[in-house]
Amino acid sequence: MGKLIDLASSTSLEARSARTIPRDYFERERIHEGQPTEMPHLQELENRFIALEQRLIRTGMTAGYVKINLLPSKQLKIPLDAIVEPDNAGFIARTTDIPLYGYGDDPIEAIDALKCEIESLYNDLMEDDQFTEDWLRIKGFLRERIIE
Amino acid sequence: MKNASFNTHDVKKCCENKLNIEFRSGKEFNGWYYHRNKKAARITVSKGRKPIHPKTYKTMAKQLKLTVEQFDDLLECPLEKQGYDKILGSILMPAFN
Repeated sequence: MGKLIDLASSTSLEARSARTIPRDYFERERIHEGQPTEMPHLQELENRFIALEQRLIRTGMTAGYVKINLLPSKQLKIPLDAIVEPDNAGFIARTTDIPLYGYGDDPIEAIDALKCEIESLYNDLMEDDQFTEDWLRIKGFLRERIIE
Repeated sequence: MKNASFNTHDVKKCCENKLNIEFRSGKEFNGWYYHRNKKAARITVSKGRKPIHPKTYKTMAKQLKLTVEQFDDLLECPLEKQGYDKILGSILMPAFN
């Protein structure tokens, strides 16, 4: 995989160089567990996506990571991490903790598709407990994060 | 990787016919594979007959807990349900295989 772009940062992507995920990244998330997540303004998010898209096109095969805070009809107490990468003519967005993906012609479409996938999986998992151990773990993981 | 040989419709049909996966229609098609009466793998397939790009193909394989080569075999024919069950069994419950 190429370099990772910190899309979660609110400052200009142009101003900062691409960087890797810090070692304590997942620890930091645990510290914030239970606290409400600050929702970035929609316009700000859109600007970040556009900046990411432009950068991906300009720099070629790089990847960006995003934090998913909102689902189509649910909210996340703790954001989910996702990676967005070019995939031939389009883009693929994948969650880092769950085997889910969304594909789209641009990063926004890919992330939107991924959000639908997360919600769809959550609904599937809440139906019953007839799952293998790894899916039951994912069920617990999502239950901790999603606000109905 | 033989992603260029198959489109999303081929993957869906193969999953239905060989693995008995029943897809639900939402924004995309989603289907669960049952292993020993438990939902063990969930695959997402785009609607229509769209080409599958390399990273998407690899992610689909991963959703079925297969390597790209095993996924190629599944789509091309050599890998049948029995073989898939064996692979899944060795991943999920290595002690019992």
